[in-house]
Amino acid sequence: MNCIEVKNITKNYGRTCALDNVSLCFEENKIYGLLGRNGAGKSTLLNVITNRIFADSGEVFVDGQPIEGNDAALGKLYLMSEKTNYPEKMKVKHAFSWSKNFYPGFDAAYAASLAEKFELDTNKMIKSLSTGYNSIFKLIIALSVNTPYVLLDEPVLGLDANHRELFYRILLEKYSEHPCTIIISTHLIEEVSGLIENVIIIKKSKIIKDESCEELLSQGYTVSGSASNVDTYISNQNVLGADTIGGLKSAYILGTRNTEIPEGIEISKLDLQKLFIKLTN
Amino acid sequence: MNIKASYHYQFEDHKKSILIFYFVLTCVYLLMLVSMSAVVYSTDNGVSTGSIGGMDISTLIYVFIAGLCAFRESFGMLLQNGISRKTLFAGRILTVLTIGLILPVLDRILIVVMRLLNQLSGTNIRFASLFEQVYSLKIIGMSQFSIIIYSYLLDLFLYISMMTLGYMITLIFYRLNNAGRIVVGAGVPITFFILLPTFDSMFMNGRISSSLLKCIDTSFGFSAQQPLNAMITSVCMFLVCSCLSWLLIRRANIKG
Repeated sequence: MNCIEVKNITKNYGRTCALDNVSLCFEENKIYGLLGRNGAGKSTLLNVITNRIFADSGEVFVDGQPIEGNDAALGKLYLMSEKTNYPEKMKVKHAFSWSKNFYPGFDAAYAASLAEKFELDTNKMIKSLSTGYNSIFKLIIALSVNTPYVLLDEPVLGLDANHRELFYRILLEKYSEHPCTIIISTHLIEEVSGLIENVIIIKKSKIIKDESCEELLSQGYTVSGSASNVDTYISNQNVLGADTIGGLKSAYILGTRNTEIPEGIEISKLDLQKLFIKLTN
Repeated sequence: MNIKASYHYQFEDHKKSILIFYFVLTCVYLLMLVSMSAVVYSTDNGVSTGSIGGMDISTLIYVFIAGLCAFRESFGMLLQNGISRKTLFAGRILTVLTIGLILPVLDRILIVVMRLLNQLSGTNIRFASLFEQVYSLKIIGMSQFSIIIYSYLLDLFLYISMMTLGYMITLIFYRLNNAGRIVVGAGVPITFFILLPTFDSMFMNGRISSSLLKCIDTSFGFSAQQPLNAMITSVCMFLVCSCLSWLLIRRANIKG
């Protein structure tokens, strides 16, 4: 089966454990959300997968091939990381042309069209780009390399709302035209919740959830209504959290819902961000 | 393996600095030629002779610095673009060999051009390569062709060894933590330039220094006027530095 297989990866930085015996499988042509709090180990995991750093133990396989020292396997991955690894004095247009050298599938015309859409000046040096445009520059390459696996670590860092929306739209267009595995590591859970099919949650260097978004959200539900009605309804439930505005209240419940729904109570889907906060607190 | 892309990128990375270096070098030599000609003519109307020797020493220093600066950026760029450390290193060796083959040719051309300009200007300024300068007794009776070949080979081996030495030093510093960098950065010069000479003069009666000098002399064949010794030493240095560089690079992580 074509997938990225992570087997028993452990990585320590001195006395700090970044990944603790992590095993995962990223299947082909799916969009994954890699979620976790700051320092949970998301970036470390992505860096280990792409062999930028070495794990203390464990292995990573891409389509059955070990990643370590393997150009064929590495060539199937592209990681857009928070850190810019392109030479600072290189111009954006030159970075695009070098990408074509390394990734034969790189679509230079598509990259140029994206640069136009995002209003990225390709004659600029990488070091002169703002934080947002630096992210855009890396995103354009990630969207144009046409590798079977694209890993995005904080892809919308520094992007304004307009550019974020544009990026999500382009990502979905790209995915529907050329399906590939996309792994998005982000803190903006609400924004990506509509995009991702599978959710992986890392907490303190361990994987605590690895399932489809739908499955995960079906483990609970949201109850809304007047505060008194909601309070009565949730009295014996496993409550993840609640929001109150005036006399109205929304509570997030983990567990299967009662078949009988009292009058004045409305039931809706669980919110991924609320679930994430509860699970990682 | 994607060696072609790795080699292409690493060689291109040096191309611009090589062009700038030779442009500056040519300007410096022209300036020296003009100023020396002016001095020679102003003193005795061109009868005196001048000498500019060891012209390729500046290239030797350049390749060492180029080696020092070659790692960090290309390591990040190549790993970002799906190149393994093995392929990166293979591309590096090919780049060093290519530069080692090209630069001595440029040096020879520069020396020939300067000699021609010297003839045209009618001055008696002698332009000598490192080989002609260091192995001055060896070249007596040698044909011009043999001198060029010897100079080329000596430069080739010296350049690849110095470039790899610079690369290895950068790698050592890259792999060390902050404390290690301070220990090595300060410890090595202090040991070799302060502690060792002091210990040698106080307790060994200069025997360590003389042994070291003798070792360097034999390795490079200075007294024996044997350039072959220098070539063999350089090749050994290139091989040792390359092996150590590979050991350092094969488990290097991207930092930051």
